Amino acid sequence: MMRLFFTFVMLMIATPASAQEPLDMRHFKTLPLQNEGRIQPLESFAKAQLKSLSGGASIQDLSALEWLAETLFNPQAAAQRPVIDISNNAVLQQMELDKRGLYSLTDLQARLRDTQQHVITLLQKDPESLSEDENALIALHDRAAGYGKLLRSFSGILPLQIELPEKYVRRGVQPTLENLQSQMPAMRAELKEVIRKKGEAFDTFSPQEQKLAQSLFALDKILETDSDLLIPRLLPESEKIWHAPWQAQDHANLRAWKDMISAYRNNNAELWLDASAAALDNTSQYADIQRLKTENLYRSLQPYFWITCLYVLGFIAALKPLRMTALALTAASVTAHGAAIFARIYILDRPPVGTLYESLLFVSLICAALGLVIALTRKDNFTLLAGNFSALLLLAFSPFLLQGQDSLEVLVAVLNTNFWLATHVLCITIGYGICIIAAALAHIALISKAFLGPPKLWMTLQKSIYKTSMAALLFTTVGTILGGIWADQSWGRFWGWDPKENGALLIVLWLIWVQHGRLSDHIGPVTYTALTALLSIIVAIAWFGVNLLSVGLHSYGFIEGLAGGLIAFCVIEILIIAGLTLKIKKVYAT
Amino acid sequence: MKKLRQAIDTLTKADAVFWLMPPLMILLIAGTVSQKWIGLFRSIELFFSSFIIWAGPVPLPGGFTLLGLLTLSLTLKFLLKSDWSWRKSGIIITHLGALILLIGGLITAITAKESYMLIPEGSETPYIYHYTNRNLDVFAGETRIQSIPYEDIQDGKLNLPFEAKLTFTCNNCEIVEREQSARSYQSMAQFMQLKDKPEELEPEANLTGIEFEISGTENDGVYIAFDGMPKPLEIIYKDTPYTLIFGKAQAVLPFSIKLIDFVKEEYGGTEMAKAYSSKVMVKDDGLEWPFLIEMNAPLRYKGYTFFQSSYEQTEQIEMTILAVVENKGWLFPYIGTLVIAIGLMLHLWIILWRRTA
Repeated sequence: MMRLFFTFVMLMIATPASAQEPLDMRHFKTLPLQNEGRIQPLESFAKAQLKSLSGGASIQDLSALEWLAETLFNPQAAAQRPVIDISNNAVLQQMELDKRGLYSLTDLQARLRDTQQHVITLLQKDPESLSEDENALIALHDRAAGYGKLLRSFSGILPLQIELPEKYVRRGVQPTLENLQSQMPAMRAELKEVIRKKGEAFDTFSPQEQKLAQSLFALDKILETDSDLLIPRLLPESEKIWHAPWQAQDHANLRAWKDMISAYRNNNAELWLDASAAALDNTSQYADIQRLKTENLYRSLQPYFWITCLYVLGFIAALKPLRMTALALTAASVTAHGAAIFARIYILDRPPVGTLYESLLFVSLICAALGLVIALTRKDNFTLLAGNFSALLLLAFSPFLLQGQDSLEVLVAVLNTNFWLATHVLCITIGYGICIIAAALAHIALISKAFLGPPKLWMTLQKSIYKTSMAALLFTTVGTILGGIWADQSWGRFWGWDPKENGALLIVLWLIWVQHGRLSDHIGPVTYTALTALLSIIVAIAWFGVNLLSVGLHSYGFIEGLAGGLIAFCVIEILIIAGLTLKIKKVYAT
Repeated sequence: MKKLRQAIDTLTKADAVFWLMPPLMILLIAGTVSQKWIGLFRSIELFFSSFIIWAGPVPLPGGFTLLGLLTLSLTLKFLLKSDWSWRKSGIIITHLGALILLIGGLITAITAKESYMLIPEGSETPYIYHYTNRNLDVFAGETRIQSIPYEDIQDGKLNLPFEAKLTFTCNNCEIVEREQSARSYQSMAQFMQLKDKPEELEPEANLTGIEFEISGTENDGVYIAFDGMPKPLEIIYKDTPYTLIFGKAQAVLPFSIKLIDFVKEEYGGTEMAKAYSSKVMVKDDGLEWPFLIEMNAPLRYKGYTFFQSSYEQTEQIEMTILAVVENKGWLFPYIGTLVIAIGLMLHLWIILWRRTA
């Protein structure tokens, strides 16, 4: 899990490069690498790495990409840059640091070494028994170890700050491990001879012999600690197999990377651009470059921030009598939202919903689109209000499910089936979206009735609620049963009473109950509307609540702290709906 | 007669569904939440596959009762009170679909048998194993002469060809080093001792074992037997060698399956599985043909369905674990879904069309 042992040896002996002028990153940012099971652009990787180390998107005056270039090509400078965020008080205390904030790897080196033994002891314990502070200490070591590996990615190629005995110095040849490796047997033989003659006492060596021993020690240390480095996988052998620089020292594309290293370290803008273009060109047959560019664009645009803003504007316009503006704004946001979802489908090459976070993105689109479609059949803005409000609420909530950042992740084997993701998952999430709109319309109907809105509005909303409820029943029922059929195809159980299955069934049963209550006259129009409004809670429980149980095959999205939020949401909803219902009963009783 | 008619009348109305749904929803929530504490298996047994749930002295309806009533209500409504008009056609079809699903569920509940088979690469086997049931199999030479269910052994019915007395059982055992004792222990029992420990949430994860004393044979003494025991117990009685094996209940398929190759595909550069598949050869009555079992793509043959369930990988060998299900009701959900989807779409179209008209 974690290896920190002497990760810093190379950093101490890699030559620092000259001060950097900003370089043109247009090709560098698109360079592909294999990470977390998929091919992604270097910029995505840089952002994810920096975010997990520092919690931020940039560091001092460097963008994530510039920081990564420094980390790879000038590790000595990078190791001195404060980039590791420590905010846990117990960890700070243990490390004898006085304030929260960013620390450089060089700052932490001695402290990490001092706490290493403690961390090894912790790792041998049952993970369940570890406290939050202990986990934070382990996580810090993990992050530092990962960062250490990244810093040493090119340690076999970078020029080293070692003083070689004169006879081994070759004019015009950089003192890199790669260049010196052929001389190492001769150096080793010579040192052996020295030791045979003089023993192992370093002080008795001549200056040239001392240089020989020190150089050899440094070179051996790098080989010992770095030669099994498996990251970053920048060099493709085929579409599926990619190697780290240490694992493919004779890879054809390494020439371009060496040129990039040289250009970076010598601040040669022209060579940098040419070398990064060549590296990109060389990998284009193993990676879809257009896809990588789309991913970079997707990340840099931060589409969901702007889409949420558009929904807010659409909502405000719908509140005012600005029908055309509200319609246009909502249409624009739904189009942008749809485009963002399509970008995701294109980047990941799979249907749009595979994780809890993605389900939020998709359901919010369904809500807004449905609100817009129904609005076109009505003369008022109420469904626009419902659609925009639901969408912006869901989108505003979505970042909390990421626990860091959107890693555009690949899916576990059982979920990795495009057919069922495209049928069951889409069907059930469309069902969720329609349920939310039905519940939102029911809220509006209750508010209008409670505050003596026009009776005609109540009537038309009742019809819309009934129709959306029936559509919700169609999608949730078919979606739930399709889930059963998927389960039957996967592990031979149509219905296994798994929490997520049961959650979906709960929505179906609730809808059936409410419809049959209405049909049998057991519930009147106000109760019917209130029970439809409560659908919001049922959906929330089915969607998120079951993940809190952390059992079953579907519990892919367990999020700490979700329980509190969910309970608060349910309580507030019950209070609002009960309050409105009581007010209506009171108003109409008098 | 009048009362029966009244009861039938009530069951055919929407009222029946209205009154059945709340307890069904409560049951569903209770059965789901309880999984966190008692596990899926017991939760299904307690809430969903039961007629009555006892809340202290109070009997409450279980899953079978509620779903049975719902099926009855739907059947009666469908047969006796359907309004056979175009306007109601969507509703009628939807109800028919729900009925098909419920009947399929009933057939599954009665007939479905779940087991698994474990095949090392290159091997062929006709044997399948039950997930939770255990047996003590007794062989005289090569022939199996007895298969005693664990439940019977617990009830003291340990009737072997020779004198045997049960001394200890544990549904979930811990195997510890044998403490010094004056008793005569045989085979693995000389070094190992079974101790009871709390059961796992899922019974298939338990390590079940028994301890018993044998007398009147050439190898008298106390023996232990448990799931996955490394070697069978061997006893000689009246010059006949007997072999005893304890473990998951075994059954034999009417054909056999050979594993040609197991493939675990990983996402590049990670150990995260992208897909699993088993290339097998089905062998039946002199005929054989290949089949590729993948995630979400099972093999169906002679009423058995084989699903890619898991695998075991050691440095020497790869083994596939296939879930084997016999379920006569498997087709019902497929038909039911189609019928419900058609019914609901038709109904939705009718209510939308009515508005336009």
